Amino acid sequence: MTMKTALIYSISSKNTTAVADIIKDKLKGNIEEVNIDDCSFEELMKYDFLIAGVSTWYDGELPVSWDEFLPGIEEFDFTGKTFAFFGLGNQKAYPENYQDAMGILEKFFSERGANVVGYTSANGYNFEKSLALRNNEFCGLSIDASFSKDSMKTLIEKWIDQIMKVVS
Amino acid sequence: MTNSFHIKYTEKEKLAHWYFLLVTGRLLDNKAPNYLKQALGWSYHAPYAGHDGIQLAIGQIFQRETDHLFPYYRDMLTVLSAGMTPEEIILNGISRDTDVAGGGRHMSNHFAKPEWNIHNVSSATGNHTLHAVGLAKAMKYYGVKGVSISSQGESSVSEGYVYEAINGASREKLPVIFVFQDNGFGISVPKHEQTANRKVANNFSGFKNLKIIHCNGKDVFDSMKAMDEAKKHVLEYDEPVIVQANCIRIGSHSNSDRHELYRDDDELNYVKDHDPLAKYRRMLLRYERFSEEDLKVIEDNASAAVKSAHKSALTAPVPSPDSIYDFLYPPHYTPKKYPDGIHSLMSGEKKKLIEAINETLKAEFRLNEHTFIWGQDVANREKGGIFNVTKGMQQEFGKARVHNAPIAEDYIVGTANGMSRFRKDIRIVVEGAEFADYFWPAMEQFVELTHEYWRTKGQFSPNVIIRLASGGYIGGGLYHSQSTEGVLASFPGIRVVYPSFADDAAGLLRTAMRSEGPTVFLEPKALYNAPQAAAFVPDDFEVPFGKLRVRRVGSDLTVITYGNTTHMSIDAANDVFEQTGKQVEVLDLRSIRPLDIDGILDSVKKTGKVLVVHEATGFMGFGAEIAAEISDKAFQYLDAPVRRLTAENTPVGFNPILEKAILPDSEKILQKMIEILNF
Repeated sequence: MTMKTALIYSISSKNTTAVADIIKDKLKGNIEEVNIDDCSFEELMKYDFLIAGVSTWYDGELPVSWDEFLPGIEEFDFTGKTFAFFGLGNQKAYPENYQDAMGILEKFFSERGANVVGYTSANGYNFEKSLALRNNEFCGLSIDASFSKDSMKTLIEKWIDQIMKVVS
Repeated sequence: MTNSFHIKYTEKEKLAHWYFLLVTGRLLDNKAPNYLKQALGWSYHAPYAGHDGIQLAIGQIFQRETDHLFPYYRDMLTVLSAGMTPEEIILNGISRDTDVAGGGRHMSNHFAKPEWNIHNVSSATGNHTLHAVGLAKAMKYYGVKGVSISSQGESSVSEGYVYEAINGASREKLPVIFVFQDNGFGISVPKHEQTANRKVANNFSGFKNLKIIHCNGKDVFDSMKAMDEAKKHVLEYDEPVIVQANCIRIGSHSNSDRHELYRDDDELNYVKDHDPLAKYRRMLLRYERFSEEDLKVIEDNASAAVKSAHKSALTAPVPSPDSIYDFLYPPHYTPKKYPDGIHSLMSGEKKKLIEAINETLKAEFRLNEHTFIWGQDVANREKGGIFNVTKGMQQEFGKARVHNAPIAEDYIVGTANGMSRFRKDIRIVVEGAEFADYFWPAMEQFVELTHEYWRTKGQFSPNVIIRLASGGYIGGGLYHSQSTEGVLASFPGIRVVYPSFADDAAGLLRTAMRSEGPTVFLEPKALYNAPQAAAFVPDDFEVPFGKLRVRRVGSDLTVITYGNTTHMSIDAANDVFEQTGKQVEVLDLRSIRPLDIDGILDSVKKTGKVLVVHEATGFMGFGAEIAAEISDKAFQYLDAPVRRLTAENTPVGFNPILEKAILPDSEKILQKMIEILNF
């Protein structure tokens, strides 16, 4: 494939980094890593396909890494670019805002022209509300705190297969 | 315009000013505990770190010319952002005489500046929501385009009175912004133990005429947008707004709390990583609005400002112990034509107690256009109150001045307090409850009323008259017979009056409505239409506070009483004279507090024997206070122990047999009089 692909997240986030590592292994190096804590805003525009990761803490805002980054790219046009999102959350402890941060990110980029892939079924999850729901599907891969390491790995790899099939 | 509050587009001077405030506030917040360690005061400090965005925003949208602000005890940055100086904040923290909130009288971290409409609020968390709503009533009535801002922690929303306040603001469409600063904890109690919704503002989603805005209270720009939107909405749509600001509490609840006992490392790391001040600083640099050097200059300026404030505050005077009785009572009206509250009118038509109250209310409403009355059931067409005391008032003075209130006693009293802050000549009469028995839910607002003047060192007096239909003798049982004066009069700063006759009712009400400060006006409801309480009432009659009236002259025994039992005592005294030839003097106190102790002593010195009579229970009853005063000041004049005749120490039963067995009556009083006379 010729698509220039990036994995974009905050490396200061421990759990997000753990998921990112699985994705990197799966893609065997065919992906560049962008740390939003210190990258330039323009850097995103170098890529055709971006896999963005975010965790939802407590009452559902974006973590500071993304919150500080987005104002810098508000006026960018992402038409022609493809995004896939993965989110980390805790449906038991925070059922009212499960995966909200992923939903906020997806909305942000899709409103600016991005093509979004990698929707997943919400079946089997148990929560009350989520900004990440789109017609009963999550707008990305939803990883819950209750998942075991192995099941998480399987889920991520399956999702990567799903999205790579679409973008290839 | 959204871009007014954006890291890329906000004017540089504004960003710099905000950074100065944020840094100055944080320096003060971090420094506050040191004053305690150095034994300089500030024993209560609730750090605000983590609430920086929303507090900056509240202060920035507040305009002291038109708005009113009710900050809570964690709102240090709010008041700094609203314009208070670091020195004023420190003076409050270390309770100096020059503290603009109230000269060191109120607790530390209760920042206020009443002259700028930054109100001095209670420690009873969230009860100022009612004051903010009351003030907004005034703003709406007087046509002021501004907002009344009430700020509080999310846990205090659990208080019932907060629901009453928001219900009232929603029903009356009042210009209030309720800000809930949500840091997830009420001291150590996590918010899921307060209410089912994690975001408590959503509890109010069914309220009509109410907008709810959620924002990130840790983010300056999002908070500014939210507060700006809230204010514009209030002004444009004339309805209240709730702003729920998602915050974090970086520190413990206060300096007497240890949060490491109940918060895990994950959470503490999260809050540290999400420090709003650090975030704002990073953004200023990342978006190249300022250089490191620029920020260093601002930080140095903030540091210098705090150091200078500290130095100056330490030289400020401390309060004098001699000042404790200053500002306990605001100025009262002093009757000129009737200095002792005695008149000689003996002709014309006698008026009933209910007529005297009704006519005096109307006369004072005609005299002062800034008078208002509300309460439960006070005005609906031809009906004016459960006993018709306010009959005809709404027709004459209009609904804006005379209206019903929800069945929420605390709301009735708290909003009266709030509205009276708007201007000094406002007088609000409330029917505190349909019966005195139902006043208890308003007790926390009652307590506020009693010490606002003292607490603000004379800067604010709530000019509120609480009318309560009191006492028994109507076969009303446990909840239509209670006597509340003993409890209510126990609070310093309150005036309590209790007329027995129509003329005194008129005179006392007139004085109360012309005085500053709160007065409880207790009405013996059994006497509203009773012929024995009817009297000739001069149109301009006035009765001063603290002046008893001798209702029957005597030389052998003094009876001290008030309300219903005045009449029973007079009857019993007449019977005693017929039976024994002894003359009993009957003193009608009229004022419970202030108490006419000189008038009492004059009579005791003459008779040497005392009987105190009241219909309230004896245990902890007001009669105990009178007996103690007499024992203290006139023991040498006594020829017998001071005796009391009161209700039995039980509730008042509904069955007439029970009521009669419990409450005093003329026969019981007669027996007691004879007993004492024979001592």
